[in-house]
This record gives sequence, C-alpha cells and structure tokens, in this order.
Amino acid sequence: MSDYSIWMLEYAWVPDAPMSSLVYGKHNSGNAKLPYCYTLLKGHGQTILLDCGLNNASHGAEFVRRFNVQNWFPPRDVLAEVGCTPEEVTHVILTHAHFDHMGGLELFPNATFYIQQEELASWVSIMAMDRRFRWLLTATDTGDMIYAVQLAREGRMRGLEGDVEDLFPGIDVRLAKDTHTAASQYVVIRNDGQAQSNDVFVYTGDLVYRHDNLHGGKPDDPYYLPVGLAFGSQTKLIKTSDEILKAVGYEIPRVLTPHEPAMSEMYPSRVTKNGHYIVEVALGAGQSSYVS
Amino acid sequence: MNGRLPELGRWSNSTGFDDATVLYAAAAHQCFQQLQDAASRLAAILLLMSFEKSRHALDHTTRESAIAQIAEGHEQYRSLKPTLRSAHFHRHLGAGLQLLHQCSNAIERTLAGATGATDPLPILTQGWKELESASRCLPGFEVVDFSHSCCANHAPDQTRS
Repeated sequence: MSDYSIWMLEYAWVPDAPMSSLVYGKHNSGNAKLPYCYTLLKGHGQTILLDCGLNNASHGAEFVRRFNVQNWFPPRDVLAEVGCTPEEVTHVILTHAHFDHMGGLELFPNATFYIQQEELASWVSIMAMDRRFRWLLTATDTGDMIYAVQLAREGRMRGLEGDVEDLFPGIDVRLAKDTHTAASQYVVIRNDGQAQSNDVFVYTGDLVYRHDNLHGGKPDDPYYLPVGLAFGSQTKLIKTSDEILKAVGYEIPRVLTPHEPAMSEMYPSRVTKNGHYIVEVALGAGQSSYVS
Repeated sequence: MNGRLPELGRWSNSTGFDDATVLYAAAAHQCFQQLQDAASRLAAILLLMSFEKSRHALDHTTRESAIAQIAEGHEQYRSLKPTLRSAHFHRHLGAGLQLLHQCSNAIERTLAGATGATDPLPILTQGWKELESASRCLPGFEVVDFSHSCCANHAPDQTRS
C-alpha cells in the first residue's frame, strides 16, 4: 500500500510548443502539446504540492495571452477535482524559480515553500550583472520576489541546502546544480517509506520536459537528450537524468514529468469538465479514486 | 545603457500619441527600465537578508548596482518633459523613484544596525506598485520582460496563416 496518494493535475497547456524547445536539437520536428501541471501528494497527514504553477492575475494574464497558454484555471478549480482546496495545501516544494513553477506563491495561503537556497542566491548574483546578461533572469517577476521576502520573514519560505533526506516522511529532495537552472531540485518519493525502496517515483520539474529526453525517441536503444532550454550545463543535466532514472530502477513511467502529455496514458486518468487531465499515479491507504 | 532611445515606432505607429508624447515615452522608457531593474535588485537584497545570517554575506555588488541605478534613474527622470497624455504615468514614475530611493536608504540603515531603521519591505512593495501603476498608464512599459521568458521559445509564429 502506498504511503502517499499522488495525482498529476493539468491546469493549462500550450498547444503548439516547438519540439526543439523541449528536446535539444529537434529542429524542424513540428510542435507538440505542452501541458502545465501541479503534482499533489497526500499522506502522513500532509497535503504537499510539487511546484505551484503560474498565477493568471496581473502579469500572469499577460504571459498567458502572449504565449498562447490556453485553458488556465485557478488552483481552486483544479484541486477541487481531487477533493482538495488551496487552503489545505500545507507544503509546496519548488523545483526551481521560474515563472511557471513558482508564480502561484500567493495562491496557497497556508503553505510553507521549500526551494534550494542557492537557486535564490543565483538570482541575486545575476542581478548584479550588466543589463546585457538579462536573458539569465528569464521573466523573473519582481512582485513574486517581494512576496517571497514576506514569506521568508514569516518562516514560510525555507531555503534548503543541498540534498535533504526525509524532508517529509519518505520524500527526499536532490540538488541538480548548474542544470536547467543554477540550483534546481528534484523530488524523490519513496512511496513504501523504505530507505531502500521498491516503489520510487521522481518528480522532475523542468530537468526533464518529456520522456523523449530520457530515451531520445529510441526506447529500444535509449540515449539521453537534454531539454531545449538550460541555463547551466547540458552535460550535468543529462547526468542528472541518469541519476533520476537510476532512482526509479529505469522504469520511465515512474519519472513524473509535468510537461509530458503522455503521462495520462501511463496511469489511470480522466479529463475534467474543464478539459484538463488528472493522472492518478498512486492511492494511499483508504483513499478513494478520483478518476474511476 | 548606451543612451540611444528605443525605436520611436513603438509609440508612434499605433498609439495615436502626439509627437511630444512619443518623444516622452521613448525617453521615459530608459528611466523606467532603470527603476525596474533597481527594484528587482532591492527585492533580491531583501531576500538575501531574510536568509543570510551574517551581514558580511551582503557585502554584495547588487547593492551598489541598485544605488547606481536609482541615481541614474533620478537624473533621467529630471530630464523628462511630460505632456498632458503622459502626466499620469509621470506621476507614478516619480512616486516609484522616490520610494525606491527611500527603500535603498532603509536597507543601508538596517544593515548598519541603526536604531529605529525603517523596514524597507513595505516601502519597496509600495514602490513596485507605483511602477506597476505607471506601466498601465502608457503602452510599452512592462514590469516583466517576457521577451526573455523560458516559454518565449514557443511564442506563436506570427507569420503562420
């Protein structure tokens, strides 16, 4: 029996993301749907969100309009499909500091947020650079940063330093330094609670955009292809991909990738009244299904 | 900054602005960007102050950059010639500049351990709101530069039919 119930919850999508932005080097390979998802965990008395999406209010709306992000719905609507409210979210693990992963800070009023301290420190360092380096800031919203300061003062924004075992029971975070960002982290869920677990899932954030990054389109003779966007080292990124696969025993479906549209084909799933998919990865003891 | 004004066409082609307002907008854009960048730096400093235990960790060029940008923004603001159409924007820009200056001073006093130092966060919050208000008064003034968004890679191809 699983320690945590796990759902991947789509909240928006881009219908026409160029493949070259998702898989490095795949130029002239057409477009693909790019879903945006939260991943929700419930267990051990906690309600944990992995990344918190983007906020359609103010700048979020401009972002949505400009980049053809479609069918955005707020967390209240998305979480309601699995019997949850934003107020019930107790913790949010932020894989990295990009707009579409930590733009929703204000939407979860009772949550404590966890991010690698070095990820935040890298913002500061980049801001000291000349304006010519502004690409490195990539749509940083100062309003989000100001809100993050308030959260930090309240003790609700916690800076992690490196790998952390059992951040919550059976949940580890691992630092992926100098990869997609300066200090991204990925989440390892040992869903049987064992130190040497046989039931591991890994939530990747943007370290992996699609499972194509893990097999290069050749599952029978796989090779790693990095994502199309990295602010750090692509070499370190694909080494991290290997660490991620090792952690799940090379079972690719156990790599929970929020931007992979095929996740809905790997686990029980359904489409909500708003047109989003819910992927039910695991059910904890006593938890009813929200897709059957 | 190389001092060259951005393309006037950004404001002249589709806004219906008079020539004086177009010139104002082009000149104000540099000031706005300076203050926008300065606000980001001040926010970053406050974020570090929230996490770092040692003040020595804050002996950081980001603070110097913010101070320099506010000073530069002040000089640029003084040289602006607002028009009737741009008056609302100009007022918010000026208010934002003043608050960022106050915030920077408050940070310095806080780091110096001065007694009775004002909390810089509410000042910065209000200053940022003034810049957001300014951005809504004239087109072409964005508080978040989406052109460098990670998702800008998949902006819709405008040439497709």
